[in-house]
Amino acid sequence: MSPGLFIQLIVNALTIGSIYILMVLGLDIILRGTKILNFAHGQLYMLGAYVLLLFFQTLNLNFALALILSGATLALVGALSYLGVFAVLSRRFTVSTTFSYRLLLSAMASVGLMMILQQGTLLCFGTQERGILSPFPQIIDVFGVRISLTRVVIIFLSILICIGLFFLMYKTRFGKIMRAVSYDPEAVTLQGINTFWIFVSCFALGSALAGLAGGIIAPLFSVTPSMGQNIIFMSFLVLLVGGIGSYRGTIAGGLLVGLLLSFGFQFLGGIAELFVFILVIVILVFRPGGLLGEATE
Amino acid sequence: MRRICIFMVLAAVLAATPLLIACNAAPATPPAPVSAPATEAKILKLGCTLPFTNSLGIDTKKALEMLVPAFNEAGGLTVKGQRYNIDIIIYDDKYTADGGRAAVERLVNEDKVNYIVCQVGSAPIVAGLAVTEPAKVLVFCGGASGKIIAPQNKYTYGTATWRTNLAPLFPLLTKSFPNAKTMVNLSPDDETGKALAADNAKVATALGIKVLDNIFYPRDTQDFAPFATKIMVLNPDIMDYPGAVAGTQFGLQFKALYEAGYKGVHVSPMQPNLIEVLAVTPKESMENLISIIPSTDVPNPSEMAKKYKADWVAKYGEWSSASLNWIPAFYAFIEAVKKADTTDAEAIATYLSANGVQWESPNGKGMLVKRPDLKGDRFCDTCASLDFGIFKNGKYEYLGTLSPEESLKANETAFGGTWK
Repeated sequence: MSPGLFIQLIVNALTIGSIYILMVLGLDIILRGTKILNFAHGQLYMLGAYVLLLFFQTLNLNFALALILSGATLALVGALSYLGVFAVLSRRFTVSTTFSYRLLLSAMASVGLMMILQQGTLLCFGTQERGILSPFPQIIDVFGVRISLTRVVIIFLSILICIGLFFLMYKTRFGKIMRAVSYDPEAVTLQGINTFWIFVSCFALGSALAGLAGGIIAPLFSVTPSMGQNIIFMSFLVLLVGGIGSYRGTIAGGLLVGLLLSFGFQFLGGIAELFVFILVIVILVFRPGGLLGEATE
Repeated sequence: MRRICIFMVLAAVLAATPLLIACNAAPATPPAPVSAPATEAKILKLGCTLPFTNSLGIDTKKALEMLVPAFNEAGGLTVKGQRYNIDIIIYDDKYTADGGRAAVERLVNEDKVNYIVCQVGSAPIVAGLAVTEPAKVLVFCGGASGKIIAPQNKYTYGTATWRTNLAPLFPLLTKSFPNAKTMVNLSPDDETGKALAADNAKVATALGIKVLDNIFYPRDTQDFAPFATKIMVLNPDIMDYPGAVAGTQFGLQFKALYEAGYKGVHVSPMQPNLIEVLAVTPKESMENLISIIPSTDVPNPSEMAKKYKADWVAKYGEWSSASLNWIPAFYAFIEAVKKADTTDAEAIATYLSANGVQWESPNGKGMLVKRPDLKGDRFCDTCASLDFGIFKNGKYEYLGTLSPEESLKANETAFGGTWK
């Protein structure tokens, strides 16, 4: 394998891996914070792409501003979704409602939310695929290796968002509360903190990350109402590979799956996706909690 | 006594029934009014299934919604002196076998249609054959799969040119680029993609072009960078895209190859939807694309093509050519009914299979041909006029037009047998 091909494959892996990382970080924050397995996460990603299309292409705003607005809009959509669906549902839970039953009901509610968002998008934007011309069309040629600037920007923005997220979660009081809620919400409540708004914030933050992922990827791919369905399945696999509740695991899982798909496709063809499933099975057998996560109930 | 009364009433009703029927059936006098049932237009129900998720389906739906009312307003269809207006029922087939089967079942079993026209994708069409053939439903459809025109099908006709435009297209390619000797096919991994990749490889090999690889991708793929990287390692002179939806996804393929540094020739038997393609990729990525071009965009388009484009712009605003490949099925159906002079699907099929039919649509002239190479002896496939162009310096340049007869000859040479 030539060095040029190697670098090209790495760039491809990092691009797709970084999008998985953003998706799964959002999914994980929601799951840990609110104990909701959010199947509508893919639709939030899709909505992020449509919101970027609206701000960047239709309203001709600056790309960075359009991306920020995309994240902010999805945070709002996420918060409203939590207040309108999951908060209402959780009021019906009693002390005797088991954790697995809560998880199941929340997951079912998220499937309903998924359908609402999907059909709502179809009604608003129609079924047709839409394209966004990349604001970074340049090709970087380094010693004969051609790398699209769009891909470099995607990787850079993803790293930036991850750093920002780590700062928020580990260096701020708000982040510490969010993490505390994910371990023991009752104990946090006993400290005099209103956990309800923390739950809302978790859902909003997770949704914002999905929206940012959709917005970042929109200029590279096309924007379609079905784009969320394609990524959510792979995101759950990355979550299992990396381990639920581990940010480092999520990053490791995203990169590993990205590399596996990129190199696997080059040398094995379409069968490469099968190896992701095999990897998940192997990890679940030998490390049920994922690469860097912990096996919990 | 009561039983005898009931018996007598029943007997009277039975005796009167033929009289009542006779009176209704023969209103000899007074003379029929102007709007008598015999001259009143009847309804001919046509079914159609299309993917509502891409421009091929959406634009074909728009086209039918524009053409059918205009056709009815112009007098509709007259068969044996009876006028018929057409009612078109269109369902989403999701471009999948499951979706296609469900939509066709609904058309045949619930809506009771006897004719289906203008379907786009092979997967839904082939899946629907299991319903339409036993029900003797006449199908005029697009789709590339050879299964559509298989000898066992008696009521199905392929009216798009996907199976017959390769033989005329490839000699043009080798003439324009004589040094291009190797090719890679990039196709969707479904019925359409696999059927067309096999056909393209066959024609290319016959012309001395070596097919380095057939690479297949799932129909909903958006990230073509891994494919482009693999293709660059193979380094082909020609890139072929059999079965691609020539809209946004086509653009993503060009973009990925352009970013990976591909500078060879592109060939496509499909007309690219430039609005969608150029929404995702720069013009430079399409350089050296030889393809069929819309018959509305040639230097001297036919009156029919000009009118179609003008009507489209008047109704929908921005012009899109994506429907042009699929609407000939509607015109072929109309001509078939006129020639057979019956609305009976079985009689039309018998007529067509033995005699074929010719038509003119906004996409040019077309005719049904036989496919002896596929062991069929009925008229079932289509040779049509083809307009070719090459994308150079950011725009299409017209290369030339072949008549249906010239297309027929090129196919007879490539595949063998007498097709007419």
